[in-house]
Amino acid sequence: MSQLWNLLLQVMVNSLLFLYNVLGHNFALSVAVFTVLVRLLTLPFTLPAQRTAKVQQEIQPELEQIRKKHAKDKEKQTQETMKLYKEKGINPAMGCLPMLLQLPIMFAFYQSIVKALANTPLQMISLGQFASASLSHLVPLGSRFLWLDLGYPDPKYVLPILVVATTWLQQKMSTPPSSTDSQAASMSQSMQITMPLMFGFITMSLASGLAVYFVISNLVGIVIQYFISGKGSLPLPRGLKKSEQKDKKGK
Amino acid sequence: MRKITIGPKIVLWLLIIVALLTGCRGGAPLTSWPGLTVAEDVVYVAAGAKVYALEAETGNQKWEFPGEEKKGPFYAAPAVAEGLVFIGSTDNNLYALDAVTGNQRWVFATNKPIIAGPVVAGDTIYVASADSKVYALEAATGVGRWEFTTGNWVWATPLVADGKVYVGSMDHKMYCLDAESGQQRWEFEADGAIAATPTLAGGLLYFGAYDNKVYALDAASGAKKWEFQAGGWVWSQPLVVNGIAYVGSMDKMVYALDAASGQKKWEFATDGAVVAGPAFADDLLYVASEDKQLYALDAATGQKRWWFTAKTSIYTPPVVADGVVYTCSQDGRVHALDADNGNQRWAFPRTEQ
Repeated sequence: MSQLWNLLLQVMVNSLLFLYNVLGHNFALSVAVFTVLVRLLTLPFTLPAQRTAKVQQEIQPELEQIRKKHAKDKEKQTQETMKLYKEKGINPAMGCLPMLLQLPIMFAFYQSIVKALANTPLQMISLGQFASASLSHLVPLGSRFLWLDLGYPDPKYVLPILVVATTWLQQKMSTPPSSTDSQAASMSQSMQITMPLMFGFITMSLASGLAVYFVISNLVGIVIQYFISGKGSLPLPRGLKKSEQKDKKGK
Repeated sequence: MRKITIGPKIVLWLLIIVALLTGCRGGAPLTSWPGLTVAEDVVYVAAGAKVYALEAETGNQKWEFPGEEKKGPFYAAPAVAEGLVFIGSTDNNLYALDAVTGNQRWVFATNKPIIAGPVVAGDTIYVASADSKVYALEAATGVGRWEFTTGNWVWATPLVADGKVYVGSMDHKMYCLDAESGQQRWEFEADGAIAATPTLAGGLLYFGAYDNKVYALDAASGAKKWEFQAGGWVWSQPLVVNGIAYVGSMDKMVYALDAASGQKKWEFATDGAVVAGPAFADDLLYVASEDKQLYALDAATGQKRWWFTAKTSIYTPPVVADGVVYTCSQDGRVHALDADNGNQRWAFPRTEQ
C-alpha cells in the first residue's frame, strides 16, 4: 500500500517539476495548471456526487412531504424516502463515496506540493527520494511569485482571504437551498460560515503555494458546479422567486 | 427529533482539515537534524532547540544552551576554538558561547536560517547562511570582515584551507574565495545544487551534488579532474584516506572511489539514504544511514564489521575520538560506542524521550 502511495507521490512530484520546467520556472503557474489538470482528471469521481446532490435538491419538497406525512413513523419514513430515491434513480451513497475516493488524490497532491517546495534540509531529503534524476537540476525551485515566497505563508493575508471567499462561494453553490427544517438549516448555515473561516485560518500558517492550490481548486470547482447546478443556494436576482426561476428554466 | 444531514462536501472538508491538522504535511516530524562535535574531551551536540556540552568520558551534561528562551532549532555541528563554541541557528543567528559555561558571548544576525556549520581558521570564523551569503567575522567579537554573495541558499559548511575558502551553493556552483578578502578566485558549475561540504586532499577538491555526481576538481584552478555518477543525490561530505575517497549517496550506497581517477573500488548498500559523511579510524569506516544503523566497515573491502541500531534515522555525521565513535540519531539521542565493536558506553539523554 505504501509503495502505491509513494508511486502516486512520485508521479505527482515529477509532474509538478516537469510543469515548472516547461512553464518558465514559475511554480505558482505550475501549481495552477496542475490543479486544473487534477480537478479535470478527478471529474469522474466528483461529477456523480454533484449530480446526485442536484437531484436531491430537486426532490427536497417531496422529501419534506414524506417527513411531514410520516413524522411519527421513522421506519415508514425511511422506506418512503428510499422508494423515492429509487424512483429518481439516485443512490445516496453516491453523494459521499466518490468524494472519499478522490481524497487520496487530493492528499497526494497536497503532499507533492509540500515536497516540491522543500526549503529545509529534511524536506529536501524527502524530495531527493522522489525527484527523478532528469529533473533534479531544477532543485531548489524558485519560490518567488509576486510578493509571495511560495514556501512560506502569505505575509499580506491576500491568499487566506481568497481561500475564505472561494471556499464559501463553492460551498454555497453546492448546498441545497435551506430546507424548512430549521435545525438542519441553521446547522448548514453555520457550517457554510465556519468551514471557509477555518480553512482561511489554516491557510494563514501554511505555505502560500498550498493556498494557490486551494484557490485554484475552488475556482475550478465553482465553474464545474455552475454548469451542473447553476448558482445553487446563492441569492437570486431581486424580485425573482425560486419557482419563477424554475419556470423560466423550463421554458 | 429531526435528523441533521451533513452534505458530502462538508464531510470532505472535515476530512481534509483533520488530515492537515494531524500532520499530513509530507515532511518528517522533526524540524532539524543534530550536529555533533568532539573537542578537548567534551562532546558538543546541537539537537533540536538545544546545544549541550557533555563529558566525553561519561556523557554527563556540563551545560545547555539556551535556557528558557527559544533560539533554535539547530542543524549545524558546533565549532570550537579559543574557548568559544560557535553554533548557527535556524533563527538566522550565529551564536558564540563560552565553552566552559555555555553563556552567550555574542550573536551575529544573518537574513535567513543558518543550516551550515561555522568554521574557525585563525582568528576568523566563516559562516554561510540561507540568505545566499558567506560571512567572515572576527571570532572574538563577531564583527564582520567581509561577505560574499552567491546565487542561492548556502547550506554547505565551508572548507577553509591554504588561505582559501571553498563553499558550495544551491545555485549549482562551487566557489573558491580568498580567505583574507573574500575575493572570488574561481567558480565551477555542477549540474545540480551543492549542499555538500567539500574535502581537500592532495591538491584535489572533492564534493557531491544533487545531480547524483561526485566531482574532483583541481583546487588551484577549479578545473574538473573526474566525476563519478552515483544513483542518487550526493549530500555526504567525501572523506579521503590513503588514496581512497569514501562518499555516501541518497541511493542508499556508500562508495569507495580511487581518489586520483574516480574509479569505483567497492560499494556497500544500506537500507536508507546516506546523507552524512563517513568517519575513519584504524582501518574502519563508520557510516550512518537513514535506515537507523551506524555501520563499521572494513575500509579496504567494504565488508561489514559491526553495526549499531538506533531508534530513529541518522543524518548526523559520526565522529571518532580516542577509540570512541559518537553518533546522534533523529530523536536527539547521542550514543557513545566502542569503536572496535560497537558496544555502547553511554547514551544521552540517559532515558529515551
